[in-house]
Amino acid sequence: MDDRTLMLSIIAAYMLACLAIGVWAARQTKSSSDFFVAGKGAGIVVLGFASFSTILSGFGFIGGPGLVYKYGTSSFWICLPAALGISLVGLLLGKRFKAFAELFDILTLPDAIAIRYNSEVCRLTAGVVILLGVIAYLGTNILAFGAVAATFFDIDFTAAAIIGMTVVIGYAVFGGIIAGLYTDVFQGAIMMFAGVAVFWIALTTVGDGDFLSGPRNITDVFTASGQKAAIGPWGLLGPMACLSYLFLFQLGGTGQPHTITKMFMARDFNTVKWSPVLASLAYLLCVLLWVSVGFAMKYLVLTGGAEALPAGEEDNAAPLFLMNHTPAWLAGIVFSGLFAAIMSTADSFLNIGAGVFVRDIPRAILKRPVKNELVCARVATLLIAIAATLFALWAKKHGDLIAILGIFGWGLFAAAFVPMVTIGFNWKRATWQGAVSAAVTGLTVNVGLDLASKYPSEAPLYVVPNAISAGAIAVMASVFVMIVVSLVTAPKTLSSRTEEALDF
Amino acid sequence: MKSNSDLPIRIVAALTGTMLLMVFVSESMPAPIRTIIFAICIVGIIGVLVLKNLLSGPRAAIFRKLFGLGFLVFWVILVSIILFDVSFAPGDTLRFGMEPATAMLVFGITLFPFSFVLLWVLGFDRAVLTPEKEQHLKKLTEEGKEDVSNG
Repeated sequence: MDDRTLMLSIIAAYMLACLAIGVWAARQTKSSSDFFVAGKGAGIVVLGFASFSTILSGFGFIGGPGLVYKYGTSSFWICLPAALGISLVGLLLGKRFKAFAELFDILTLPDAIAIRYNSEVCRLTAGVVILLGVIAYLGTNILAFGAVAATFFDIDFTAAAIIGMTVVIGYAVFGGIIAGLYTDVFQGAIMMFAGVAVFWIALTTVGDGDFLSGPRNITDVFTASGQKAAIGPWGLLGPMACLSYLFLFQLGGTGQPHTITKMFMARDFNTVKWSPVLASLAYLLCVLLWVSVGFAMKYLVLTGGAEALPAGEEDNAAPLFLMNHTPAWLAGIVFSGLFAAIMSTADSFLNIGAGVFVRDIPRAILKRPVKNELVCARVATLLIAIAATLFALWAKKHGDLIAILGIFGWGLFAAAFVPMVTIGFNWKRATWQGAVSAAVTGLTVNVGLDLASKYPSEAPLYVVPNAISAGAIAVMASVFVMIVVSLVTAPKTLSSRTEEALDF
Repeated sequence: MKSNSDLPIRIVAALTGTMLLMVFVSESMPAPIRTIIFAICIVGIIGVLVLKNLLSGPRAAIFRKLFGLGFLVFWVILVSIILFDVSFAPGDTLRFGMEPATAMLVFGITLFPFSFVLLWVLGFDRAVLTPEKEQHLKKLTEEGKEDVSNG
């Protein structure tokens, strides 16, 4: 069996295992509560693994190493703070979300927001933000999936994207979030293995067979090649940019709906207590791949062991390292880990997107729930997956559009939900006007700054000084607006139960 | 009892406002000063939110102090990175094969936050959710759930 066949066989086995979990989960899914929040019965291991594997998308395994290759340690300020960001979900929201889930019939994040603010406008706003983010996030993940398969396995891009989404649909439509959670455990385990194995191989490669010599060799070679700034504490982007990433990826972790929604699924408070610990530790093992492969590839380029990647193709750093410097069986498992990262994020997005369509929009606009929520949820999941795939295939033909899609990611969710949820669920005085203003501000600043810094391409309208992240500025602005508007508007009267839940 | 005062949130607003100022109108300020102020604001915002989320009774006092101390140390780590970077010269001693500031980033920023996770676990019953509160929630839950169809 040649290397390519071996790798494809391992990846195919992984896909089949995901489908098998989906078949099992479909038998456990008997109600919309099962479909959206796993019957609120997830334990420590399941919730811990699901939380971290959901947050580490294809960007973590492909884009992250690419950023290290391009900007050096600047990229560390994205991945390392996110470990605490995952814990902050527990610290800032865990017990209160569990209390809301116990006291109310909550299946989606907009459900909780509507109760918190006693406002259907807030529910609708949250739903719209989630839908925008879901389509864009899913689109970029499908693009990543198709691009890796097409570039490294010589499979047609469209065919690869359709195969990947078909597998996700196969388990997410029928098994709902139960399938999502249990495939996340399986996928998370593969990702952890991939992270540790590749970290070891990367440092051993640059250390000439000695793992511990790896960092020193990188320092020596980069310094001798005049690339010292890349291995300094701020990389090539500088301190203000790096600190803005620290802010965005630490506090912003509490504004990611696909992760914080998991807190509704906790079986008990013991799960709320321990799952963030497990999630942070597991996440840290996975990002070992992120921090090591980019430097290893750059080291190989500087020492003549590999050809330099052309500008704009830095994302190929990780796949190229896997293809050329790891045994085929391990590359197969790590590529499965890469696809696992993409798929574990995609299934969560499909689930929260379906929740908006089936539960939040009808309740916010029609003022009533839909009949047969479970069937509608399955249909909605299927339709969103098809729409996102078609959107990604269309977007592939528009390079600029792919770049624009990138901004509808972490920053968009953080700018909307850090004020609306992280501040709002920790401050009773927060008002619905403040929450809606914050979401609109976050969206506008995020999109506005990004577009202004790119167009017109020959002379952009405005470039943020010191390479500070537009997403971080959007979070600062939206939090500020949330607090100021809330202080000048009168809060609505909340039910005694809501008051009790907010006091937890 | 949890404090319902607006003061902590007003502090968060002041800190985010300061960060926005640092972003847009601080070019005339020396870079290390600007960076240190930015770091103070980031740690301050997260620290205030975490402390606001802890219970305020006497049983939680020790954990409130430890969390507060933890955020102070976290800020010192950030400032150390800034200062080590400024003072490093080629030929200086490396730490773990890296510049001292980079080693501080790799080990400090990565590992120190786990002290917060440790405090969260150790102090959960005293500073996050007391058994009495959990019992109270169970009692409320037994009274039945509220539908959310009317928001």
